[in-house]
Amino acid sequence: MSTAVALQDVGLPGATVDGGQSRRGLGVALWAGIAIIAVAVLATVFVRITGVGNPDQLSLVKALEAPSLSHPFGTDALGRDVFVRTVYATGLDLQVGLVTTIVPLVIGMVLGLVSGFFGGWVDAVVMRVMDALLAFPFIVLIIAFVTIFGVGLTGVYVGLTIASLPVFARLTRGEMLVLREQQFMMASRTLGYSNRRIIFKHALPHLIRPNLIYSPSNMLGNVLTLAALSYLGLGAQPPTPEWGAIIAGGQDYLLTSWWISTLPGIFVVIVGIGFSLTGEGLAELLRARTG
Amino acid sequence: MSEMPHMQTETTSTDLPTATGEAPILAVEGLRVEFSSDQGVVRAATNVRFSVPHGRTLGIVGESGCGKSVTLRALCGLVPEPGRIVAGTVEVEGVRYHSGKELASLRGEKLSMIFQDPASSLNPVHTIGAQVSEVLRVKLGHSRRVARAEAIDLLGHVGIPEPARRMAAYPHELSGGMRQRVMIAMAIACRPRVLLADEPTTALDVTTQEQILKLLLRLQDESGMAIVLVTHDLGVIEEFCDEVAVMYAGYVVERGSIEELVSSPKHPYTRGLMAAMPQIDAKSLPEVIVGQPPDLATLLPGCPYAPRCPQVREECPQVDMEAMTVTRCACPFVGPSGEEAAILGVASREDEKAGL
Amino acid sequence: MLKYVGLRLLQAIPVLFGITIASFILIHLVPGNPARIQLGPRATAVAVRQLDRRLGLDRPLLSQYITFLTGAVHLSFGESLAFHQPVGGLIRSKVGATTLLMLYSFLISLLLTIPFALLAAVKRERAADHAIRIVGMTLFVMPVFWLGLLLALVFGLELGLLPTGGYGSGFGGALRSLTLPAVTLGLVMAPLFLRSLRASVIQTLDAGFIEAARARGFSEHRVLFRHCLRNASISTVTVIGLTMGALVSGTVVVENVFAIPGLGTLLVSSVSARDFPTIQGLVVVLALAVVLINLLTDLAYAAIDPRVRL
Repeated sequence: MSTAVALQDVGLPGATVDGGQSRRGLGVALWAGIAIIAVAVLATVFVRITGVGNPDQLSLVKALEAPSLSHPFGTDALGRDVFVRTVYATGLDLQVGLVTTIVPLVIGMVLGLVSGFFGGWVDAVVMRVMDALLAFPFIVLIIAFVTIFGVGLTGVYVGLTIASLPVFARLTRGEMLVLREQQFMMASRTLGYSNRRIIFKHALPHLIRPNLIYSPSNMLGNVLTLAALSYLGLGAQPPTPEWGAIIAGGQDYLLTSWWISTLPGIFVVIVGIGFSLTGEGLAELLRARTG
Repeated sequence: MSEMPHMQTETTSTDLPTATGEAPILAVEGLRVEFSSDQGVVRAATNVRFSVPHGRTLGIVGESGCGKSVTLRALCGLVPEPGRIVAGTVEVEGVRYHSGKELASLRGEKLSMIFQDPASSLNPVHTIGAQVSEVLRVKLGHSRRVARAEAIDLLGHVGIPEPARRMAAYPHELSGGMRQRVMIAMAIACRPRVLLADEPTTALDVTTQEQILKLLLRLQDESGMAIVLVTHDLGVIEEFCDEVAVMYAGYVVERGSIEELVSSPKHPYTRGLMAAMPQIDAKSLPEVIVGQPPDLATLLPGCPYAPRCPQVREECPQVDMEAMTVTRCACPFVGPSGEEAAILGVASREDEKAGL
Repeated sequence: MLKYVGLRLLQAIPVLFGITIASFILIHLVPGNPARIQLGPRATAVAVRQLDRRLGLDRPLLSQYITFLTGAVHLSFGESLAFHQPVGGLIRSKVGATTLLMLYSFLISLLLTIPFALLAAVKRERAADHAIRIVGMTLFVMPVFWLGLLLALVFGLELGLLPTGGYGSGFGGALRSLTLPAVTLGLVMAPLFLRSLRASVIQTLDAGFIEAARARGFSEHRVLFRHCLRNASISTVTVIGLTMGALVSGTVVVENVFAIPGLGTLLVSSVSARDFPTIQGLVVVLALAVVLINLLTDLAYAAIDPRVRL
């Protein structure tokens, strides 16, 4: 690495990939991301609690109205306010994203921990199963579960949860293998095997780190998959408001009432950017801690 | 900071004792290289001055962080961002150049460079033949066929056995010595006037080092090219170089022929380096120079070696380094002979002890 | 090189087994009787039993699996319950469109990735780099179907430049029909590759041989394209391999947006129709596609980096 040699010659660090973002920059990304998600969450909670706007209110008179002050995203074919539906949908999507991230995180961590700690045939079996799951294209795997449970959210919940397992399991196992060489060797010598529980408590903060870093990505991916499935008619069923379903509903009217399919998407993109920024910011933050 | 007036009367060619009186192939005057960083301006090279005559080798020696690698790179405009040449001239075959960009146009033609680690200096995904041929095609405009034939010739010339067979080999299939020979082949392909070598033998084992240095000498004899060799290994300097420049904290603190430096080093740092060299027939163990080189971002005024110098005096922080580094020894307190310097040094320590 | 290929093929076999097992289990995990579910609640017991026998569900599990496996090897999965045609034939008639779409999308994503990744790497931390990364993040976050509709609206319906649905005849017609879908998918996949390639180029530019190439007086253009790019691609190829599953997933969705008669539209319609044999066949074929692509990626890896070739 000769440029690095020349720089070392004068005592400067070499180039880093992300340019060593200054402390100010990193904070902004994380806070911006969290702010966006917070606004979305607050909006959906607010709308449900106060009952402002009704996502299911049909009104054939007001069908296919262009965006206006009273209906920022216009109305759909059944006269429902698209913006209100989009905000309501946020609740469902975030809920699915949360559940299908937290549950596989916990289960995956257990699997990875066991697999990494015990090694041997346990490790081999668990990892083979995880590899098999990863061999399938994501949507195809979820669709398989939808086939089993029938169309609707049940299949999506189960499918997303199971399909999200392998990554968390792998991340935890990898971290465990590293940890095993460090803490456990020392601890097992001095304390003896009886204190396995204490060891787990020490290991956990380390094990959870890569999983936390990955969580926003997982949520984002799962939410987008739910939207895609609902768009295809396989996920959330009408009249449940869900981002993908709303967009699908407008496809027949794309040329004339373009707002139904296009505007909610902008909302989704903004929330998505929120997740993306949070993920990146979290990664920088947690990586910076250990240096 | 205002520039110190050049001592125009002291030309470079009469500077060096072995000069034949003819103009040097390479003459560096007042070279300054700076890096801008978060910690401020890093002065990697300050007022560097030396020259190399036709067919001779100049060695630049110093500890890590003294600026020798940066100086070498400056000569062909390869100083990486955020560094740049801020002042000085580099004269190659009589033509003066002032910026890195100008010097860059000489790369691969009049100036050539070889690097320390041949493992990382060769592109791992291209065959040896492809890489050598590429130089011939791009810089000399040969056709593929001619370039290939010439490449085989070149490889043979630098001592690679069965060169035709090796053309299809990849770098990772060759030994370190072989790789360095390939590097050298590519560097001399365009018959450069000056070969810049950044620690070319540091990554090799001792036997291979010998072979590579011998190869360089042979090539130098054949073409008359000058070589500027950067190294931290005094043994290599002694064996291989005609003239030496000793660098410390970005300054050239002493210049002279190899014989002079070995027999009577003047600057305290040079003397420290000589004393630190392990000798087989030495009467005592080598003396390590205590302390660390200074941080180039926070250089204090005066002589940078003062904190570590065994002959340090009160006046050292007031030394005008700009003026001193134009001469052959940057320490004004060192007398014409080494013994005098030693006596002076002892005297100043006695003064300190006496609390004066 | 042959040894490398052979090794990878051998490693793929257990994965293929796993895929067939998983797909086979599918039909048996359905709560209740699959035949009854397919025929609907008003089916007679006789009809259910007949379908049961046709689907082979009355035989022992192992024998069912062996039948399934041997069929799978020939890409024969029984008869579609919805179309009353052999599943294998259905798949074969639609695989062409899907494959073409995937190739087209991949090509477009590469065409987008390489120049922008190089630009972002060379102008690191400056305006161009930031702009590219922001655009990349925005594209990555977009739902594929939404972007598809948007492009269809602007370029298809409003401007009338390209068809927004169906499948043209002949190769030219097919390409025209696939352009908007391929651009959609390409735009969504590109940010992933771009991030990896950009990082890789930045790292590679620090390498010794890059400096050495510059020292030989080569133009920056030559250094970047002839020396840097190939080396930087090495780690990006790995990333590409890992995201091939996403390419297949995206293709499934995009086909449905633009009504391309491929495996994706077949899959979705089969789910609604509870056409289990077809679903099973598609699951196997699509997973097989990912495995194959991964194999090709490994081969590409060995082609680019001679150090890997044992």
